[in-house]
Amino acid sequence: MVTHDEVRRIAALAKLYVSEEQLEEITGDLNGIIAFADAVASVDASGYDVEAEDGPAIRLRPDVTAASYEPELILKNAMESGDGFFVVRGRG
Amino acid sequence: MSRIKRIRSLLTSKQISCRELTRLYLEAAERENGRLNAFISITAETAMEAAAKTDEKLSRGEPLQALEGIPFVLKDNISTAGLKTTCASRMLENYVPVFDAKVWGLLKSQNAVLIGKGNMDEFAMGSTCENSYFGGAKNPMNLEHAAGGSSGGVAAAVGANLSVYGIGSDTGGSIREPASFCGVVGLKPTYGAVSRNGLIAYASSFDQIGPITACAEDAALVLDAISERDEGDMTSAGTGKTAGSLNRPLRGSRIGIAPQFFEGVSPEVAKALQEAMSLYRALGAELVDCDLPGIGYALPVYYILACAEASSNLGRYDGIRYGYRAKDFDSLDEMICKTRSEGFGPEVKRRILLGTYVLSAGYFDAYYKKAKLLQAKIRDEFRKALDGCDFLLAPTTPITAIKSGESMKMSAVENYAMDICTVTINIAGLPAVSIPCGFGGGGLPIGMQLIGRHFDEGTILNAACAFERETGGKYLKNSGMGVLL
Repeated sequence: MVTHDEVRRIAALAKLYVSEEQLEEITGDLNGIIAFADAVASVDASGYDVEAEDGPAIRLRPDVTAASYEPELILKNAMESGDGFFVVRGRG
Repeated sequence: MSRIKRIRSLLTSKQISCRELTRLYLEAAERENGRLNAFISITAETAMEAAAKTDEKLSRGEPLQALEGIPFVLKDNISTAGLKTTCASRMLENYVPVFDAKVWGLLKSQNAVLIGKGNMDEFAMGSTCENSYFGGAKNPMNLEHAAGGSSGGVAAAVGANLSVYGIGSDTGGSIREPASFCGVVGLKPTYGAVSRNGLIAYASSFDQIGPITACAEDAALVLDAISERDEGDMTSAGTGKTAGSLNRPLRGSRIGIAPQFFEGVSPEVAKALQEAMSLYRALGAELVDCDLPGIGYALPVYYILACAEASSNLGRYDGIRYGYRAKDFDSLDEMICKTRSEGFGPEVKRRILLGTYVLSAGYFDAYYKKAKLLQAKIRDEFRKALDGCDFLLAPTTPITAIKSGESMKMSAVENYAMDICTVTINIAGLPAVSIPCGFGGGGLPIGMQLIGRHFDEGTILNAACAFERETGGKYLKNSGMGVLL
């Protein structure tokens, strides 16, 4: 069972705010999902090794310099920019 | 039976120009989107440019490439330079990528005609499309029902003839499940068959791009066009061509049936699947039993791993470089937390929290590491099963499309249970195609899943084509909406 304090701690790690009003609902939700996830505890996985797992082949590309994007283009999606930088302006 | 070939022959025989064809699709998309909500944006200018280029080639008597001039829809989590790519999220509501996803680049180079960007569950997290910031897509076979998710808008647009074909993405069933709900074909290729370069990430080790089409032959045509080794995705391998070998007899084929796939499946879905098995047997295939106990715990394994990856992947949304930014803050930390809390919807936040939890100190071994071990076990089970047969046959979903709004009354775990037949395939990285195989109550389509060996899309598409041929295409029901050519 996760507690309200644990939900606050996880939310802080995830950079999400959970208001006091939402806390009860989110804790309930998360406990439901964690109870469902707990099913993995009872399954035997002996004999398997994550390191030995044959996942997809990873192919690295050659380490060569390639053209990049113009800074102005990249800055277009920012809420605010100036002098070639991203700008974040607080209340003060 | 191929819708792509039929439309293509209208173009090459000059019965219709590509501009006329494109106008028909754009008008239909504009007209029907009010009730279907299949598109987040309609890309008329881009579509007409490709159509004009196709007409120029036709007027010069040059041959067209396989998908040249054919109208299609792209899921809105696939990057399109200069065109909004929202991921159906407030977070990316106004985001305009500066580069093209590999798959869109390949299609653009063929003058494929992009009609619009398909609606979806926010960040591809959902099974009904109703987690979209822009509202869910409706099912063209029955407008009171959901289109399915997460690629619901793409499946709805193909089912409603607003696009000849579509491109979706599948992390735990997001191509196959909406295809099944909307009565169309959905192919999740082998992990690595199609480059993920430019696909906005949800869970990178599971995400795979693939086609949603009107029939299995079209799925092969589209797969062949988008599957190519790409240096921009280190797991990309490409796959062999499939469209040229879809007439192979099934006599002597071995089809694996695992009882675990049929547990909890509704009687109407089970009956349709039984009939499909009988048909394959009549074609000379042999049904063999196989055992996949991993299906019993695949859902928690999938949600632990996918949410862990999501919590990491979605860490990039901080309001600084792109996307939504909250107002009124005193510190950088406050800005980031407010931005994420206001920019993400409830299901996305739920999955980020679960992912953060299973990766946090004290829980990593019990959840994440254990789930990775069980992934190895599930992969091993599938490997053994596919050693004894050519492909597996299973339902795509335990039920037909649910009514719009129903999912909102269900708990998160009840919603996740809809993915029981599809998530294991992503865990194992295998290819699977969903094809219509019957109708349930309310005329809602039932989907059947054919699951193949790694990079053996040819075998499952061949078997899918055989099924469509033998049933005279009677399950490829036309919704009667959109462009009827």
